Amino acid sequence: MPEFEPMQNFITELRRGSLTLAVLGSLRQPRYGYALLQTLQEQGIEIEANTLYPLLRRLESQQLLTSDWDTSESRPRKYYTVSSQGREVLGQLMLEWGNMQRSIEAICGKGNDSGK
Amino acid sequence: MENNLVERYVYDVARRLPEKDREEVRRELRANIYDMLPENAGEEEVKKVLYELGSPASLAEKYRQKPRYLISPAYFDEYVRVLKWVLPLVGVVVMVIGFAIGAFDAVKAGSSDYALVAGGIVSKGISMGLSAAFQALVWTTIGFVIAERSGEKAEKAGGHGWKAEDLPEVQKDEKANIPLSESIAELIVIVVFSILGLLFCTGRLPFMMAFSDGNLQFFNIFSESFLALCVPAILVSLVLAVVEGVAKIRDRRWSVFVCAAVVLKSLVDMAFSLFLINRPNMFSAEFHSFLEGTSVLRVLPSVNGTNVLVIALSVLIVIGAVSECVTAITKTVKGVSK
Repeated sequence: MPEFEPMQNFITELRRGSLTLAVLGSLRQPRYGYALLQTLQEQGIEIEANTLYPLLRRLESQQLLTSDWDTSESRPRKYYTVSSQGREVLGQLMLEWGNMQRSIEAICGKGNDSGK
Repeated sequence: MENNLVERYVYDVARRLPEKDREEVRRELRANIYDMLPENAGEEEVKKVLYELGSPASLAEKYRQKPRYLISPAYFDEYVRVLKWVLPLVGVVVMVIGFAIGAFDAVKAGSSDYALVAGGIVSKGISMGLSAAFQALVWTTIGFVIAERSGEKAEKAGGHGWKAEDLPEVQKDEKANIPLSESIAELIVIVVFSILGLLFCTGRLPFMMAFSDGNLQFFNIFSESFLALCVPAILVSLVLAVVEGVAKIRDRRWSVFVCAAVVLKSLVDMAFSLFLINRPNMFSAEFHSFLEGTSVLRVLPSVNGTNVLVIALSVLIVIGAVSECVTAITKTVKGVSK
């Protein structure tokens, strides 16, 4: 791809909102911060540690996540799980996500023939 | 050493956050960082992870729920515009006053060491100018912070933070607009000068003048009874100036309210000025006898016992006030009729 300078900004902006979906979705089972980071990255979601950790904290304070400190190991770890309210929000966001995808595809065309 | 770096990093992030969040963020962050590190990590590995997380300030910013401003971008332009002309103006004017006071102090002390005298004058002027500029900076900032917070509060109280009805009329004639920066600057300047004036009139600042007729002499120019009359005049004028300033800041154009405030102030100022300059006992006895001694009074004739200079000044004051009123009314009529 030729270097178009604001490209990275566009991509970051486009991804920002969808990170919440990825996080809420991955936390249907309990995970601690760094494990979640790795899971997301394995799934091809590009997210940085310094974005994920504050995001987890925000979602927790909005009561979309619950957390538990596991102190049984040598190092304490904070495990996050999606709350019932979080599930509800995730469901609505997924609907919205689907709607948006359909609208964008209707406007821009599907897949490779973008813009034609 | 490595542990120390992690602790220092975690501490540096947490100290930037609200107190209630600190302990939990510290714990979370510490756990996350150690998870990211291999067993028995060396200093280089610790540094790599910390650099990956970014500077403590930027990470703390991300932990914050909302950005913090003293003055938000919405007000920042106005703020800078006001500062750009209030600071130099107040600073320079007060510096000149400081030079005068420094000169007066030096002569009163009777020093004949000119280098010392000059140094005293310059340092007095600069220190007074700087502290006045600093005062102006502080008060301007406080003013904007209050405006910012009151806007925020209105928004939280369920409003929109602004009202569609308050939108200004489209002005074809840009002259009908009063820039906010100009109004605020005017207000600050008049407050500073009124305070200086009050200090003079109550004898807290020396206001004297040196005249040389062979050797330097100092006089209190104005008589005490005259200065006592000036105090209420300055106070009333200050109150009216504040009303005018508030009206201009509120409406930001030549509305009827602004026009009324301007006209009222210039008429009242005119009345006070006429009254004051026609006091027969305006000057102090010493200054009066000095004037008698020079040829000034003999050159200027009197009409019915009133000095020609006083008459000329009175006429100028009336012309000034009337033209100010006419300008205000013209601008208002133009603005309203559009």
